Amino acid sequence: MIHVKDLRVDYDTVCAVHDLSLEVGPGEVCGLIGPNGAGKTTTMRAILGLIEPTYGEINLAGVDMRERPRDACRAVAFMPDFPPMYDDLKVWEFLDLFASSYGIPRHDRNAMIDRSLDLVSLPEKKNEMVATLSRGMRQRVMLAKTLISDPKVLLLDEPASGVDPRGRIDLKNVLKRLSAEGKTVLISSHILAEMTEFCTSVAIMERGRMVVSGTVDEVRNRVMGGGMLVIEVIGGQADDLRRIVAADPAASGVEQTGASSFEVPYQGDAEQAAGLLAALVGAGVRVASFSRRKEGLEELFLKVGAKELS
Amino acid sequence: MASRFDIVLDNPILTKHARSRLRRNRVIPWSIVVVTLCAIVCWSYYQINQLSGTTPLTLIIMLQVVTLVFAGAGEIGSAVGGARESGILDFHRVSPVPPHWLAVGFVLGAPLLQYWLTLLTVPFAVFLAAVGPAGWQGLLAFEFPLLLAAGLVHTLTLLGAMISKKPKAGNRGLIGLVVFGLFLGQGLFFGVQYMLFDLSGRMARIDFFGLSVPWMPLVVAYELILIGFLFVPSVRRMRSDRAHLYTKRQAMAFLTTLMFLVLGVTWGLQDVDGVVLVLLYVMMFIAMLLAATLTPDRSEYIKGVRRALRMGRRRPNPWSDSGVNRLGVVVLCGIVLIGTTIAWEVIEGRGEDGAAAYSQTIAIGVLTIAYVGLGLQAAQLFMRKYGQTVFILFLFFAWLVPLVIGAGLGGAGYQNAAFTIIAVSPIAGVLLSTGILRDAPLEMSIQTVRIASLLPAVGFTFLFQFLLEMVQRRIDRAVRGTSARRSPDPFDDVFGVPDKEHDPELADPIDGPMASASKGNA
Repeated sequence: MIHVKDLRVDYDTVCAVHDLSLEVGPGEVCGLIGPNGAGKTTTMRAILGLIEPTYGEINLAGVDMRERPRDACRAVAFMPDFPPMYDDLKVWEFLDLFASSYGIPRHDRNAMIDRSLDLVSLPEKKNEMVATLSRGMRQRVMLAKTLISDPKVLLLDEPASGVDPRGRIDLKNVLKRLSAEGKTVLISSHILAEMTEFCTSVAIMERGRMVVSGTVDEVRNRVMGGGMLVIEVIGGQADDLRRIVAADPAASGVEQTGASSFEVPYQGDAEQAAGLLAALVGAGVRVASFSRRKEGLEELFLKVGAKELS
Repeated sequence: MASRFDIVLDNPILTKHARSRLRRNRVIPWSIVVVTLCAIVCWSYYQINQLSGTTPLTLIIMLQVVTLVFAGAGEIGSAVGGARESGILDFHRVSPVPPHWLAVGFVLGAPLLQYWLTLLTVPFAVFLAAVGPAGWQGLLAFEFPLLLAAGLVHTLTLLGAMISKKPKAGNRGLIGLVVFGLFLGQGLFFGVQYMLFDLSGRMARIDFFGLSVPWMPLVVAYELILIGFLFVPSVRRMRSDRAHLYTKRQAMAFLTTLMFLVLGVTWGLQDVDGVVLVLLYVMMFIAMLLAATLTPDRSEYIKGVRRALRMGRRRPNPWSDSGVNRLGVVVLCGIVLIGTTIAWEVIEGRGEDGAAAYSQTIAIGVLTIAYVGLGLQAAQLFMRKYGQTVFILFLFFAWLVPLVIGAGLGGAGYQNAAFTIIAVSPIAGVLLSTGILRDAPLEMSIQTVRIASLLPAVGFTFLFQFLLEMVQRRIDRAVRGTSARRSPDPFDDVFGVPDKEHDPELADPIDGPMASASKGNA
């Protein structure tokens, strides 16, 4: 659905995006992560055709953005971090403007407006002037505007910025629903903890380059080396545990973090982890808990950032 | 089903403006103000028994000018400037609405209230025309130029708002427009009106390539064509803020059309002296403006080179790539050369000086266009963002300073030296090279003056062509060098990504475009 290949964007002497490739499939919610100035917004704007790239292929919903930009735009909706709006319109008029822009027939527009306002929990504001809305409400109206054309591809740049907790819950629900409906979502945000909950894939950018991308588990495996097993045992059986863990080729050492708790850096998959658990139990180690710690996007981002700085 | 009228009937921007501009709380107070003003004019002149004179009608027309032309232009400027500055224009750009629909939506939609207010004045104007000496023809003689002026000013305002680096500066431009309108536009307005209708109210006629046609349809056609070509850059900027105002093809079409239209109305001026000269000055000015719109800055050229390398070429495509202007400038020069030569050979005819009468003059004009186009690009490539300023400074020294020095020398009695130095500037050099002052009682050598006017044109053209080529080669080398350089990626050791997997160019070192270009350069 979003296919970007070898995208390069130059501003004067600065290369803002350097030969970036990205693939986001149907039903995928991809988090575009990176520090300020990494090139996230430039990438999004180039994908939308708002910035002319130096070169590169951009394909949205199967349509080449350079050859048929109008057709590609028909399938895409965009929401920036600080949404500009027409203050001299009513909320329904603002939504109607974009419904009309996307070619929705007149007789369907009212129902579409009601539906999208329901999705963002703002049906009562339909006849209010946009100028009277708070920042959070404007953000929600903008989300409604983004959804009104029922796009196949959504590009959201910091959609949760300035939104109250209720709005964030709505946003999360909307994103989950969009994913379930098979929509493709590329989302950039600094609130990484929340993104962990709805992103199915992640792309980390740094200084205009794509550092790593893939499903969250793939990226976790690549960045954190497979993750960490957290094991708690009953009684002082540390020696037995160390012996059995040392025999597992997927494990690389044991670190005791408490009186009866241990952390094991582990490269193996779920099958191998289950084998290790069975070996521990079989050897008489009384395992109270056995889990794989899954790092969130914050940890992944920090880890990548630390490597980059080093 | 979409129809061709949907650009007006189902234009989202037009609908948006119809909603926001025609709200009751704006329309009613302004309507009351305008109707009251018109009523006061009629009542006042009725009281002094001058209702049947031309003054009350003129006042109503002036109210229309202020409302439709200036207030309407102000609304367009603020609507477009606001949309650009807030960023909401980007939403429209990424919607499926075509850019020309957006431009039409803004130019027709923003002044909707002003259209309505102007419409309210029309019954008063008709009444005053009926009871006064103007009659319906007199009224039309006022209203047509007004509508044409409104269309032109609105289009110019849209263009100004779209190309201004500071979108809100469109309003500052409007102040200039008002000053222009009040002090100069009045003359233009009544001049056009005079040309459309003579004093007896009959429509004036003019020869167009030898055919006698009424003035009014011709003026309307000219103005529509002009509006169309001024609309093109606005549409291009609606698509992208960084687009050039014209493509090479559009600039050529604009200049060719303009040349055709000007030749058409001057066709009947057989044996009139100075036609070629006026045509050359006008076309030089327009061609230089068009050349400037085609001229890329340094980053655009670098982008062009990168694109070219990507496609396996050494240089950007001279025709289709916006990173170079040379071919476009050459074609613009060619159009001016052909047009002025036709004017010389067919309209004005060869003068007593034989074949050389205008040959040098036209050459100077054409070469001036060439060196402006080439020099501006060379300056922008050499000096990045300061290039334009430095080039304007160069034009100041090359075009204006000789005039000042020459005037000083002339005042001191050194006439020969004065004319020679003045001729260095193409502003005067084009004129002096014709030998127009040959018979004047002045101490000047016509041959020296001609050489003085021709040399800078030839010299600067070669100089700027050389500098442009040099700086382009330098940038080409730098871009190829950067593209071929393999800096170690800091993340490769983190993720264990082999170089050739991470950098696709490395996977194909022999045939990869960057590598080939790099080797070619070496």
